[in-house]
Amino acid sequence: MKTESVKGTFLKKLETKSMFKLTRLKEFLLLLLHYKVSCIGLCIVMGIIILAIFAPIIAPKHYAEIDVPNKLQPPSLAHPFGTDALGRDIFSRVVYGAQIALWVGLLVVLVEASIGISLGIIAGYFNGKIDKIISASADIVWSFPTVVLALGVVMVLGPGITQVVIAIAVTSWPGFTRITRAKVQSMVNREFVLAARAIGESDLNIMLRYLLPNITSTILVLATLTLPSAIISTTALSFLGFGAQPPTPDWGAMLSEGASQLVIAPWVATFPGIFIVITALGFNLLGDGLRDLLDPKLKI
Amino acid sequence: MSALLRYSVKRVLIGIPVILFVSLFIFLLMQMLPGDPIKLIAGERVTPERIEELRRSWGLDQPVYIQYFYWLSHVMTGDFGYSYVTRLPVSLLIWSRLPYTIQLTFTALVLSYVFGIPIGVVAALKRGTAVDNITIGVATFFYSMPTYWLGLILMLTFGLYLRWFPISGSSSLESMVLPLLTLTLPYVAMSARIVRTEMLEVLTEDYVRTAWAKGLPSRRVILRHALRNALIPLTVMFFLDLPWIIGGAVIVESIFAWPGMGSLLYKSILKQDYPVVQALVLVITILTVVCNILGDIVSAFLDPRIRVEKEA
Amino acid sequence: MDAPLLVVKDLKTYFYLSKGVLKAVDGVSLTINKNQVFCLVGETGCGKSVTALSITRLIFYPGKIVGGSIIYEGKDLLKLPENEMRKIRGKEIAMIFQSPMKSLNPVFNIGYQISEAPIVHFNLKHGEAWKQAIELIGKVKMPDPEMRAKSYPHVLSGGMRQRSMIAMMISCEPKLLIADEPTTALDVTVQAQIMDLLLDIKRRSSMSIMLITHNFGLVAERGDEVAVMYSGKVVEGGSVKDVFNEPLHPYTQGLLRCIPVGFERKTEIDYIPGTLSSPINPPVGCRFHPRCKYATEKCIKEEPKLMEIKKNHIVACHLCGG
Repeated sequence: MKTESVKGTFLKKLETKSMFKLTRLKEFLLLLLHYKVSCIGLCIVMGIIILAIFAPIIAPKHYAEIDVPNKLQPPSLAHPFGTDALGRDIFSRVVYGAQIALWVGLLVVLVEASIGISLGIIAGYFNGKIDKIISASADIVWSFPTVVLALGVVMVLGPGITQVVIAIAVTSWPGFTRITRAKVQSMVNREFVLAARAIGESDLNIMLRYLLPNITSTILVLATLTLPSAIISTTALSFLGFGAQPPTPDWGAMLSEGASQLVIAPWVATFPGIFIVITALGFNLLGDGLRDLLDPKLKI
Repeated sequence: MSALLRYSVKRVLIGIPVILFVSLFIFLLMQMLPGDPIKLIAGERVTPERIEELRRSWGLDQPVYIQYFYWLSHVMTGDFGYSYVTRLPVSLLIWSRLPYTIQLTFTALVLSYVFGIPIGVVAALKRGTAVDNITIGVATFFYSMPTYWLGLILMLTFGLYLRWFPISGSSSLESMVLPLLTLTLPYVAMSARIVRTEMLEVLTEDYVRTAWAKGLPSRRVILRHALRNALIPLTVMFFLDLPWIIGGAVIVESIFAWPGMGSLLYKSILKQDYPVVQALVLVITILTVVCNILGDIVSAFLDPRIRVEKEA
Repeated sequence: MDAPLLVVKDLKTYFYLSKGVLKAVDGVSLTINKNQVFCLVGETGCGKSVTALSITRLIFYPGKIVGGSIIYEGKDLLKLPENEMRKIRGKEIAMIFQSPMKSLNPVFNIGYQISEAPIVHFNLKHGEAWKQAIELIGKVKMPDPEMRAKSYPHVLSGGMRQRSMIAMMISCEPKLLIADEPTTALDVTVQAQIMDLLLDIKRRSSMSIMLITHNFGLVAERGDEVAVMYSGKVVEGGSVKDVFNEPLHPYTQGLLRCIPVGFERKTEIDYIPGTLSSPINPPVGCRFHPRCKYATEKCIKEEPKLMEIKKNHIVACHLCGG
């Protein structure tokens, strides 16, 4: 009898817990459906991620496979997006390009976010002189044209993906700093922070375990919205010839190759470009939806 | 008014050490560049003594800080040195190209706001309706478009297929159309989005409700009470966007062969013409700092709260 | 008896949210007479402010006034075209809000903000309007009116901001001033001053005041008539004397019991158990029944209607013969 009742109450508890989770999930899905446009964004993002992950399976040919006799062929069954000046299948190159775009974009956002969020939390938490210095630098760095600084860095360090990532992250961190700082400032005078101080928590602990978890949703939204700019900036530098080096199928590099063939073979430049736009659009739409859902007051 | 003046002076005074600091940073960065400039200037078949002579005449045998002071004093008098490639004075190069860039970027920026603000306001007022949703959709679409791709597409359609506009050079007003369009479209989209967000936020503020409660006509409430407040962050953004849009100009000028500072920067980096690059980066940086200061002053002018805060 | 100034009948204002329809005001009726201090009381969230905003038709997306009528001077305000309504707002029916800090536009000085309404409604010239603004600043008892007119809102204290609001809203000599919790955000000492000011203005210009508050002391001291709201509906109404001396509705009784009286030493303060029911899914029948200790079968099933039980004393409760 006793074991029965114990099992009974345990099962009941499990039921209520999972029911609770189910209704939360249902609520979330319903809400997301309400945001049909951001659903489109989600689909696009998932599509691109699938392309990136399964590139070797989806792409019919390797991206560096040269086939000069078949160069500059218009789109056909064999080559859905046509071929470029070296006979490479553009469709395959575009698919592999998704890998690069996402990977590099993610890297940029990670570096940016790490720098930006740390500085933002420090500035918002400590206020005073530190805050002034960080904010002033953030303002100036933010308004500085990324492309120019990136070109400068590339000139000193040489071309390449890593250099590009550093260059772009180094001008874009203020985006994260500003918003993190504002959030932290609004939280710093709240009771839970004062209580944490009162029980003797160290500053670092407060920043990491009290403040940081509360800004996670904001950071998620910001990251989603920053990724498209990162992708566009990195491809821009590749377009100028300073990012990815051949034969890497970076979308920007492909575009610059196609630019010289624009009249006779417009497909070389058009398709990678379309994919850049679609990817950026997807993340922007998704990010907008996430923002409406998680933190409507966020200003970008 | 004196509070505003005091604030402006303070901002300018802070700006000067910032510019000096940045100039030092750029100078040091340039020192790290690979390659020996003397060898570039002197050429291949030159004796080591000649190289030393050249080094001394260019002052490159001095310690770094003295070189910096030399450089700084030259820069302040407008002398940026000579291009490695063309042997022309850099200041001449920049000066001849500056007006083209300013023409392009300034027009693009102004047009972006001229179109962006009304679009954003209308979208905010019709919040939730089809007009609003379509506007956001289209704006997000253009905002997701990289300038270089847009430039190529426009070049393809309007320049090559339809032949409506020239695709390179700066011969006529028409040749400015395509580069201008390329720069402006994504910016209109961005400013419309931001205007909409700002307006939506301001429209829900209590003081706008007070304005409605006073029985003021819609136009007055929207323009004088709401927009006036929403424009404060926007005006600041205008100034901060100016250096940013020059970055976009680098790509656009290069694609359309527009003879501005942007294409000069790109070409110089390709050819490793360091003095030109150094000078351009310095000019752009100074411009950035100046725009920041202007932005701050303008925001203090528009928002009386800022003057008092900073004073205290 | 004079004709009433404002008659609200069965007002319904709903908010269409993604979670559902929020029925903020679900059938409110009240009557405000001339030269009267009419108080609207209730818990936070019962729909008092929304009622006030509905009277001036300041309900925006996602809210909508879906039913009822508001008769003012023989016209139904809810059926007026917007430009007609605009002429009434600020000029005949004015409104002051709860947080004076956020209710003043930060970029204009208060002289400008006070002169706006007369300029728009009476076509005054700027110079005249400015002079009138200075006068009004004096009327609301702020020192040094000429200097004050040039000040910006952020340099003023809470009390002074509220006085500026009042000056703004009486500038066109309205017949009805709706005051939505005008003193809640202010210090206690300033509260009394503001209330005195309002009553003084009322006396001098025979203006009615609709005072929205959750402060019963205020109602008892200054009110003439009172209506008690609960969950979007009016549950009791009448003269302050009648309602306070003989509260008929269990909710009103509960509320009044909650106030510690005099120096009685009690071990506990009375309270009404439970919380306000969700405005999205209100209970069937009487809204108050989940918290009412006298609830009967009928209370659970049927919604009570507002009935006049005694002269000028209305109640919506089955137990009072409703």
